Amino acid sequence: MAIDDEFASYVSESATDIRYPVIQNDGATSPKELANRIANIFGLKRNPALPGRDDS
Amino acid sequence: MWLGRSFAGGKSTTARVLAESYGLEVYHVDRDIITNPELESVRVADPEWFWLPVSARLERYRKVISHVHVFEQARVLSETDDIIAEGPCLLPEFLDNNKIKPSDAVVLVPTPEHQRFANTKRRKHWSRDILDDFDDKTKA
Repeated sequence: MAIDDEFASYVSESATDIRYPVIQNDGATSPKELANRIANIFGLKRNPALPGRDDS
Repeated sequence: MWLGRSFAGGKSTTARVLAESYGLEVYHVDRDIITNPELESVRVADPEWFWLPVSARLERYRKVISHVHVFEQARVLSETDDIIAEGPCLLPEFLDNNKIKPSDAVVLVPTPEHQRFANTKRRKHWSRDILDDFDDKTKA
């Protein structure tokens, strides 16, 4: 296993052990979609006055 | 709110999009690292990083965390704004050691395929930078 893969595995496993939510980025998912997933985890409500960037 | 990540986990872009959409301020921990002269020897954004074993990488991150006082800085910023702090040194063990609750943090990690793609891009960029120091780039 490459060192980078080993390090990513370490980060993922230690987060899971502590019960931090882990999101995998496959590079194909847009930053907007990743941001939406994180917002759902935190229960954030979108401010209609802040349209945000369209990265999709 | 804390956004930790491994290298190439999602970059700062995700934090920026999140901030723009939900009215948050972003605390980019990397910027404190880049501007701190005491951290010249432990910066992670260099070619040597690729060959460091996991234990050595963790040691570098520990030095970074202890120097830039990330958690104290974030607490100060959060007194006036809702913030999202993001950075590669926000590893789970450091978040946990600083009593960051699981409900306040998310960890982004790249898939192995995306990690390799991102690293290939970085290596090409660094190779070009290194060659700029030589008169005879072909020989170098």
